[in-house]
Amino acid sequence: MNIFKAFLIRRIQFFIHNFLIETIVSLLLPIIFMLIIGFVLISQSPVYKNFPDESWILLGIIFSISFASSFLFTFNDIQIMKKTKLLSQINITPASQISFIFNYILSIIPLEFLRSILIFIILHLLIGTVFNIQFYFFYSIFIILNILLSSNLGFTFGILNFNFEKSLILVFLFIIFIYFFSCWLIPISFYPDPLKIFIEFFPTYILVEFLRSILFENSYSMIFLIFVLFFIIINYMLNIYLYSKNHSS
Amino acid sequence: MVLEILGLALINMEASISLKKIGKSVENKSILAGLSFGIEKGTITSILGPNDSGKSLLLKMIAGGISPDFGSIYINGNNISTGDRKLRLKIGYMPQYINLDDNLNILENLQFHGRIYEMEQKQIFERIDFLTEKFHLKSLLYKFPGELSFGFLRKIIFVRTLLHDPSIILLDEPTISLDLNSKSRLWKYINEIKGEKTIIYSTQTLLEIDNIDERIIFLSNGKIVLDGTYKQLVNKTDNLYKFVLEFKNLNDKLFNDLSNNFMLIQSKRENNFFEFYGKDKDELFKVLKKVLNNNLIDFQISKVGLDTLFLNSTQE
Repeated sequence: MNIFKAFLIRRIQFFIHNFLIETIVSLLLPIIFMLIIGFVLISQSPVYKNFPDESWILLGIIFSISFASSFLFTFNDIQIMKKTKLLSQINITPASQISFIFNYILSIIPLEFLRSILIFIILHLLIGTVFNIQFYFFYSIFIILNILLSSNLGFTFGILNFNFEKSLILVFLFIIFIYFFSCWLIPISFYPDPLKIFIEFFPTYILVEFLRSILFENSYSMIFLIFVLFFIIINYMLNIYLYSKNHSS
Repeated sequence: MVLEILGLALINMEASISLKKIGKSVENKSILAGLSFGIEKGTITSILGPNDSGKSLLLKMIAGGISPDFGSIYINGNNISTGDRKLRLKIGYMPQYINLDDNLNILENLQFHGRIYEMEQKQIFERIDFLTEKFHLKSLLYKFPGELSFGFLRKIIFVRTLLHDPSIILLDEPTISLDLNSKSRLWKYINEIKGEKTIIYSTQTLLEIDNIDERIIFLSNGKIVLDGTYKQLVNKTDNLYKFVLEFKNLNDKLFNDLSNNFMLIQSKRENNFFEFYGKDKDELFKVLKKVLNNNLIDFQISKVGLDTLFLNSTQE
């Protein structure tokens, strides 16, 4: 609990010191996304009865911003902590390696969750609709899973990084790859059949698609969700391995 | 050889820290080679050695930051590599470099450290207040690391090390970049807390050691080459002299004559200079009698201090 509290307060203090840029990211990014990408891609996206035309893409925009924001924050934070040897200092504290990674990742959730709520409100106002209560409950769970997934991946990239400039290109390519295979903005029907099979097992796709099916079709299958949880756990274990390997030499 | 004649031995004490045959290699280069020693509770120990002698690595290993390739480190009988939470709460480690969080100000950095070390909020504030007052750092609490000089940052790292009131304090070259006043305050505080805390610090300079009359471990190429209290080491060198004779031409025959016919300590030749050690000046007089007619130009006598002892031991 102490470690979680320490990192959560650190994250809040970081937010306060970078208030301007954090606020711009939270407020302007969804609007820019919606105006530039969303309204352009609306013609391609599925439309459902009783829902505004922008509903399908709205979820994709929230998930994509939430993913990029928590992934980039974690990646940047970890690689700076590694570079400045703050990670080495944390490694000799009473916090075990397992507990440090677990609590660090958890500490990313509250602010990123609040950011996604804020983005959700802004986009609601833009398209002028309100969904049913059940949906908001699932939304909270799935956005948290999305943050867990992205911050775990950000941790992996941060700990693996050896050269900041080279890794920036790698991170950029990785985000493009995730955007491409998550179907956040482009429906799966646009992809060739062999790719569809691959995409259906893509964790970020599963999360957003699961939520879309709850919202639009009121049906879902838990089996894919188990796969996402499994992926998060495997990624977490990989982080423990990489972190301990990094600090034992 | 000088060491053997001086007869310095490892000190055996009831230890709060014990190292048993510690070894570590980095990139196939052996940095620490089978180190074994114990450190008694409540003492001050300085680890002295040249660059790359393994001092920093040794301190980091005791702190639990790096695992040895072989051997074990015990603190109060518990192996540090188990990562025992209670054990780690007792250790304070000050690295040689600055590793503060650039995104947080100094106060926030210290508070973060306190929280990680499971301190209560009230306790954190009290300790920060006490230590920053003591080291004249109060005015810097709301500054960011990027705004401060290296010397100030080192002092903040020192304060951070002491924040959770550890019983074992490991300081890696603590006075680097500190001004004279800050150095004096730091040693004054270390002297105040000695007895209650076990303090180990590394240094490259003997001047540092003159401040504290405590145990010294000389490290060279990852091995202990000297180990004793400051007093013991100084006493042992009291009667030792270094003699240097300069000849017009020091040929092999003369060098062998001198080296083989007298019981000289660590005699060696460098161009036309003949160098040896002795416990009193009589040894020089005996040699002088022999060489007076052998184109001797000059001679020098100097008392051996800790610095000579250290230099000789590292050359070995």
